[in-house]
Amino acid sequence: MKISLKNIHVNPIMKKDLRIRSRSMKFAWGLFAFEAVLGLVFFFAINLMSLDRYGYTETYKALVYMFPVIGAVELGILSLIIPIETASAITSEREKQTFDILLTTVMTPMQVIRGKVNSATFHMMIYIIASIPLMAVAFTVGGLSWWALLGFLITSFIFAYYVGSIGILCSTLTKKSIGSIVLSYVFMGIFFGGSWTPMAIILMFAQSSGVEELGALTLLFNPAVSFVMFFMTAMGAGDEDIFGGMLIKSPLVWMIVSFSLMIGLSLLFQWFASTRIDPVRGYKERSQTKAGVQ
Amino acid sequence: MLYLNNLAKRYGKFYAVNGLSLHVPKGDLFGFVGPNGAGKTTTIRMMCGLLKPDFGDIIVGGNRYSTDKNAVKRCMGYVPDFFGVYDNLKVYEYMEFYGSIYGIDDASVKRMTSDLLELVNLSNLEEQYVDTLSRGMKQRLCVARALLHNPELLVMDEPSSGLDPRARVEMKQVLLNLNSMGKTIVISSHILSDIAEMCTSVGIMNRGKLVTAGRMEDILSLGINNHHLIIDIKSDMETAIQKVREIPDIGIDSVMEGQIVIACSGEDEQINRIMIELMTGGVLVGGFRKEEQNLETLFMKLTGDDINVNQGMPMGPVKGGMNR
Repeated sequence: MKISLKNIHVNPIMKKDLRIRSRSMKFAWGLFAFEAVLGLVFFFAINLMSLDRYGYTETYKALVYMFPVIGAVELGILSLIIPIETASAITSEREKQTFDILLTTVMTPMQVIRGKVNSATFHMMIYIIASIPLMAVAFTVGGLSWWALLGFLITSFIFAYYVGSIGILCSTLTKKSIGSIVLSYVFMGIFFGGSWTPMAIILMFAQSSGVEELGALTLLFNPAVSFVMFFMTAMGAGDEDIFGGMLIKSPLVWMIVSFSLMIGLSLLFQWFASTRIDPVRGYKERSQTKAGVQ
Repeated sequence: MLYLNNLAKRYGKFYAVNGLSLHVPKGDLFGFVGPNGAGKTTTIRMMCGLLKPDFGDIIVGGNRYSTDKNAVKRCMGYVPDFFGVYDNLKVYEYMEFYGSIYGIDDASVKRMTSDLLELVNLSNLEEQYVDTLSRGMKQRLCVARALLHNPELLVMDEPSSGLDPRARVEMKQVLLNLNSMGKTIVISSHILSDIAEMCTSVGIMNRGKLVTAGRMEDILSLGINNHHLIIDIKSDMETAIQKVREIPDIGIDSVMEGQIVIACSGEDEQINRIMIELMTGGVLVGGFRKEEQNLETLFMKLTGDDINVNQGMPMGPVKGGMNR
């Protein structure tokens, strides 16, 4: 078969959703607002750096810190946007009354869910990519490696995919968009904040029992922690600097394990969401007389 | 084409559909009628895979839903009673989206879209945004969308609901055209006159059960002995009622102001006899008219509260009469 772009099968839902989103004024204004916020943060940060440094060389060196600053703000904003994007993905199809038609087609529920998650993820990547010019300052002037940028893009992609999968699951758990958005934020709170709880409990009650590090295992599911690790590694921080050297000895291993778990969990969420939207799941022919019902 | 085999759906102890068996032959335009809550939409949703049956099976084009969902979905197109559309999507893109779901390449979708839009009287609207179309146009676009993968069976749930009279007539014409092209169509509707005009066969549901089903002419002939004779009385009503009661084999259905409605077979000899009896009995008759049995009167009769659905009516699965 001749290999060409036309032969690549793109999930129809992803294609349709990206097309619709890219045409809406909401997207254009959203992108504008996103860039504006990042721009303000950029100028504010650069102003602070100029005040604290003596001479241009020092200021240029400090520009490397724009990378985690802009990156963290971006991810903070995206953490707020992605649940809105994905948590309403299925409910809005239901509200528009297009969902039933989708289910009568040959698309499997899993394909529908994947299409929704992928479109939200790629949509978020547009925001990330749009912010690269601002970040580029840290690379061109601050002297960071371009591999760090690639790492940031990959990490952002996994982050968006993970949070998007949480959102899509929530979208199948409630009937109304607003309910699923709220539920999605609750889930995010559990993963971002709640994952610290085991560690906090262990630190409070079993400080010297040598099991402190076990409490950190739940943080593997916390994308924010892995992000901090990524930024610190990219910036050249020593292992002992990362969470006081307590969490892990090798940040790279931590990130690989954490991202693998997050992808695995994302697929699990998607599978569960697909079972939630499949109206005839497990349907096998049964006769009334066999079942003893008249 | 379509077999429903002992289909049942219950919610708690309530059976929305109970032991429904039906056969719709290839090429039929089958009308599903019944009062609200009869189980029509539940049946249609089970047919289309939107609701899991508790019992029974659905066979479309020889494929069982319980064993090969995808094969069933491939030979079925579904048009719901609403027309959900996506904002910011053009007519062509709307069709392209559904085409890509069925793995149809863009060039074929383009060609088919043009043909299908012509079929549903929406020619040259490919570049129009879907949300700018009128309600009737959207519903016809929905029909075109359902036909994109060339299904053998088209299932439509109240496709004319909320349409204005012109849009209804246009929709009816589209369905007749499709049927003449050999498509099997199952349509549920409350508009009995449309069903009676269009459909080649009909099924009447009530309280989750199929009361009767068969070819339209056979169904209408079920009530052939239950015509109504409406007589305008210009003299004393009491005398007229008394005289009618004396005539054997007929009964008074109702009495209105200046009118007596008589249930009779509707045969000319019987009508003549009634008129002669009344006139010779001194009753002054201002006129009379025969109200023939139609789908509406039959529907009212069959879905009335006191009806015993098993009495004298053929139950599904429909045999003989519906087969061509």
